[in-house]
Amino acid sequence: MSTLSPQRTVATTNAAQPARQPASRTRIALLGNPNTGKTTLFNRICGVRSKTANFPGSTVEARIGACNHAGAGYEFIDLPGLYGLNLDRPESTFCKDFLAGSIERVSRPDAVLIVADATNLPRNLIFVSQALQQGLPAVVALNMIDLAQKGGLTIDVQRLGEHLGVPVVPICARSGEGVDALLARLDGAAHSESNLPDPTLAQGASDWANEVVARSVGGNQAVGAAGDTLTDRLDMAFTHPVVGLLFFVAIMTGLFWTIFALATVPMDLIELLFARLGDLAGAMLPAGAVHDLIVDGVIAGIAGVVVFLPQICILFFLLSILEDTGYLARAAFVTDRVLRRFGLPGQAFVPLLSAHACAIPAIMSARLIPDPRDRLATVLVAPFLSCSARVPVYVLIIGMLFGGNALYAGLAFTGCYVLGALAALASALLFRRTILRGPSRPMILELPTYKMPSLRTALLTTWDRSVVFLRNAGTVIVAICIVLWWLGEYPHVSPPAEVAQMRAQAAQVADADADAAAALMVRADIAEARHATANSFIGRIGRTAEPVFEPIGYDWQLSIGVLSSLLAREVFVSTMSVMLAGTEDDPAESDTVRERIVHATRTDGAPLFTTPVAASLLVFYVLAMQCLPTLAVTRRETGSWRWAMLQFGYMTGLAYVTGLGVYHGLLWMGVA
Amino acid sequence: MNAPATPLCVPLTTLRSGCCATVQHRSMSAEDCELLGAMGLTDRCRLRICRVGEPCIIQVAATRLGLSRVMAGKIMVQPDPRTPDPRTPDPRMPDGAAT
Repeated sequence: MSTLSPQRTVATTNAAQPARQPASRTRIALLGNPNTGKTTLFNRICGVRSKTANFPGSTVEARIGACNHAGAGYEFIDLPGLYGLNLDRPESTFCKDFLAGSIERVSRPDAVLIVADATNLPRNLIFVSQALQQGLPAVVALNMIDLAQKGGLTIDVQRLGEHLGVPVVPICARSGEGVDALLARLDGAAHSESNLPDPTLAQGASDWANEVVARSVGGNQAVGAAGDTLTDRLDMAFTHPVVGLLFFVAIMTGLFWTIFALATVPMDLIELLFARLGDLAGAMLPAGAVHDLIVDGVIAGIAGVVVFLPQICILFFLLSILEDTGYLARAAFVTDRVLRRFGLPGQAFVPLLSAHACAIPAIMSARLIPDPRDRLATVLVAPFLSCSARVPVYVLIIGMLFGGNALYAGLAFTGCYVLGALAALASALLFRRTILRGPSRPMILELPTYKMPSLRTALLTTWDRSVVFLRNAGTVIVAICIVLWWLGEYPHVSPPAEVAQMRAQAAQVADADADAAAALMVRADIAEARHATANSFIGRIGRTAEPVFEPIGYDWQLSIGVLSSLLAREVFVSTMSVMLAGTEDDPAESDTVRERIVHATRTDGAPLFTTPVAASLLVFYVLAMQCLPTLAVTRRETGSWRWAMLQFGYMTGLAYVTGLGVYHGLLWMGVA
Repeated sequence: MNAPATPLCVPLTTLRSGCCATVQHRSMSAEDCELLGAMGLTDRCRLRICRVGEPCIIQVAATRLGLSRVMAGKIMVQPDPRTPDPRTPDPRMPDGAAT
């Protein structure tokens, strides 16, 4: 599977002068075909001393890392893997502009380190020649030298270097063999003065590469050229329409079971940790606005971000392992048969499946998809898949609808997941035929060699993705959480007179009847909590929005619940608990709370949760975009708020229309 | 005297797994042609068919490529005469029909 990063590039035509950094670090651009071990080499050299950065004006990512060797400082920029610098593709254009120094506000690198696969020299040398023609001093790292030697190839590195006109260093990035020697040769990077082929003539480059290989390489001309029985058999199995699908289902089931199984404990620990932190901060800070901001805004907001980390870490760790084995590229063809009918590529299966855990890492993992239209379609529809945050809402509402019938409740639960999946696929088809119209690219994928995955690579990838999430999405999510907290907390209002009366009455009867006094205090707390929520800014917004939600059966209380869900869908449950039961207790844990919610009434005394209302609410939650953190990630991944707003508007509109249909349809059928 | 047989040029998808062939030309968009060329599938390169169908898996030197059937059908190849090709007319048949 391609390791290309998403591509929307802005390359200016400013003739930036190449500038050698006056500082101590020499900037080295890392280039190479995909699957040459470029990232493995980068990880070997820089380790955790790296970060992922976006270039100005584009969503092209590159990892930037630092390394010191023999008193010299280096900065490595790991550019996307490319098949050619002269291809009419955004990533090729971007890299060429970067090497030319014509990206605005980004200085030209001082040298290039070209990683070539020693087992596939003819193809890699074509790319090497293109890289050398960019006019920068260069060193070639001949990676996978161990595999080449094992396959019977003998490479005269000295002669190869003479043909290329630059130093060539054999390495094995996986084991680290030769990497020190490579770093030592970086100072000797040279401009190639060899007769390189004309880049406009593809056949000429191929003939040149074959001639260089013929003069520099002995032994078998290509590793794996003969029938590789084991690889052939594995490919037959993994791409078989039936057996391949079974393998795929088993592997994906294992992957997501692992995520669910392993993420729960750390997520609970994170929530507990931040709850304790909030208690500690609350005890230390004097009561007041600062106290509330820190405890209920900032700490709760950060907790709301960090709690996603276990799922993100486990997902990207396992994906990295799977990708490293070479399996994911084969799986893409299995799923392509199904997804292509809906305008989605085979590579979309990872984001769509992982969206069942959480849409945020799912949208981030859409980077695996090389075609920008395909990637955008996947990002736009991924939130339709029922994520884990919807589960508490499903449990609450389905419990109201089918509390006494486990079979119907189970079918309703399954129906929610199926509805979400169908909405995703249908929407993808719609988008690909309208706003994202264009021919679907037929699948062309290089199938990497099957190999044992690298734990080091997987851990570094996980670290990198986590840092990117915390730094980029996390800051926006925290800001959103603080704003929503403030809207729900302010303005502070005095409790209504009836609350004071109930508390006074409780004090009077406390000695005579303790139970009655306790019941009065509970009623007073419920009334105060409802009054506070109803008169907060978000409560006032809910009241104002009531006419909008009234056609689908929601009163101002449910409107507040729906709006508060913008923070996170599961917030609906706690909001309803507070609004209708006067407590933050989980209704799943308390029959009393659940009973209060089920029997809640509207202002006119009519039951709040009738069957049509509950069904409408359920369908609304299946389809609506109610997670502002997801929108923030969509914005980041697409590079534009336009797509995030489209996602929000489309999903919410679809949810509203469907809820409207369900509500009035059931009323028309006489269902009360 | 028999005239020399003209070389057979067929779509890649008509060959069997295990066959070897030489690419003659690629009837596709310039963009796809360029990409495949950069991935190693150039004109006159030799390939081995690992799997036919969807996907079609081919090996070009040390590069293994997976192609959709649509894409594979646009690649015209000359089968290696040393490997059996189901589309080659059988001279033993009276009408020279393919085996």
